[in-house]
Amino acid sequence: MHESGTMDSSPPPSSSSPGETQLSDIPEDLIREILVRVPPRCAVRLQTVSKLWLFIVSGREFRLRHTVLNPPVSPAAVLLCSSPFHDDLRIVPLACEATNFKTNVPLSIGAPGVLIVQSCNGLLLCRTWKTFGSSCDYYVFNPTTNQSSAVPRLAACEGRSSAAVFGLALAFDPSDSPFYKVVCVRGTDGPCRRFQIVVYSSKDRKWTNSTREFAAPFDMVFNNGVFWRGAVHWLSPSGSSLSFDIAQEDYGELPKLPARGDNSGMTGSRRFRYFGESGGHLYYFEIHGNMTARFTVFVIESDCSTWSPRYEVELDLMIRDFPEMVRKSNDPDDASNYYAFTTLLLLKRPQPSLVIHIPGKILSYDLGNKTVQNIYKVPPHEGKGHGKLHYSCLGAYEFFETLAPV
Amino acid sequence: MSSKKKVITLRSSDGEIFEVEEAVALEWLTIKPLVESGCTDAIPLPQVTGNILAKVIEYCKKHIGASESEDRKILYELESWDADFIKVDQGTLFDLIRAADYLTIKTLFEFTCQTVADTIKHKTIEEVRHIFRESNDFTPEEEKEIRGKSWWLQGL
Repeated sequence: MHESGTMDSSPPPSSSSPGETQLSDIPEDLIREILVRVPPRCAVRLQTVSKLWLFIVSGREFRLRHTVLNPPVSPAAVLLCSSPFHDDLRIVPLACEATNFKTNVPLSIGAPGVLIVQSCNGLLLCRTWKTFGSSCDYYVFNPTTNQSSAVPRLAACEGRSSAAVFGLALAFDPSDSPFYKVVCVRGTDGPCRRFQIVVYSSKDRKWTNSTREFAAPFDMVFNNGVFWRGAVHWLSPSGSSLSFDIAQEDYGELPKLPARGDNSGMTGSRRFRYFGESGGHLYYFEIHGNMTARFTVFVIESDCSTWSPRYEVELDLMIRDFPEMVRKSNDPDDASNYYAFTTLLLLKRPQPSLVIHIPGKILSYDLGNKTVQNIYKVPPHEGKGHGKLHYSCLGAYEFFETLAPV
Repeated sequence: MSSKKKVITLRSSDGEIFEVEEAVALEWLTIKPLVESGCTDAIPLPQVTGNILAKVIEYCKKHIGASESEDRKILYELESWDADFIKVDQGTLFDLIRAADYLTIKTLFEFTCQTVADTIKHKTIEEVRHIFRESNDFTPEEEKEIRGKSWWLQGL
């Protein structure tokens, strides 16, 4: 207990007169308690108040606690990566966000020529460009704090001659833990097409072998993993899937993909396939043929049993407002149009929308009411000519604010 | 057991005497052991003045039982009551944080800290320095370096 008995004679503290309080005696602990409750971007800004505040906000323990207390709900912006060789990102604020954004971000992750592999709830997995005969280095980058950390290279352990790495995926869920994991799929020395998963944790900074080896579908690719509900999911070009539950160390599959030709308009050769997570949902769609601007977005039902049609997209309805997305065929006898667009990203929040690139513009297509908003005008020097589609389908990522240490 | 609710006596730093129901005092973790031990003397609170203690008691009396309610109407009413309660000057607000910290009253502590956090997120750095009486102890070079490290801060 606190000392007692003497307070009757003691004068009232100076703090009793309202408005005249001396605030300089606010202890560091209380400043910390206040700062842990401000949004991430604001905390970064407040670092410049004084050395004490910088010290508080830079602390690893503080950042871990802040991460858990402020899990990002809605992306603040979309990151556009114009080229794997460009060291800068475009940051495009989403509607309803107050724009204090600088729109050209140097992606200073400590290595030239990096590309983004995956965005996961505020952290980005990046890698260096692969050159023949060398493996690439991976980094985890937090764009809010501008900090990056190299993922240690896997040692070719246990006398293995070949520990070929087939792909890495990032698993980060700040509503669960402020630490991230990196899931690595590598080959085994055994029979062909057998794999092993090794998991790196930022908590103890170590790689841990998952015990079981597994076989994968013949055409599985492991460089495009998607993190959803505690597991990393991969999809092969022919449509087979593989899931790895990190906590359970368990393998599984996703529901069978929707069949072509149902009600999905999937006729003609597949032009594009989207497979991604947003706002806690896993989405999938395919676009078939150059003559189509209509397609169905599927989502996995909450019981994980099946893919269900969720949104009907009709981009051809935009032609009146955006005639530049129509291209005449080079063949003078062919009177039909075809559409020039790429779908970059599907966002669940702030409202379900598709980020679409048409010549010269980045648009946000509201999946609910089918309205369109121009969110970024691609400068001519960036677009390499007005008619070109500059951002590839892999070039856009959700950006969430978080102070999560890397 | 008597049906009459047990009352705990508290004495503020400036000698004011307050009476609160035991149930309220048990939420204050700092004095909880004393209350549980059946102390009947006035419990001295040398770090809290009478006017602040009155506010703390007002808040806790209103919140006891109500915070856990699942009735939307009650929670909505409580929210607007809170909004009125916290319309105080900065000095009082910081005194409330200190009192909640000293008495270990979790709900009031979180509420008051969040109120300050919500206030400062829209303030300029200069205004924040003024509120917290922090002085800028960076050299211009240091400040430039910090700003350079974070692209949020560039061009602001």
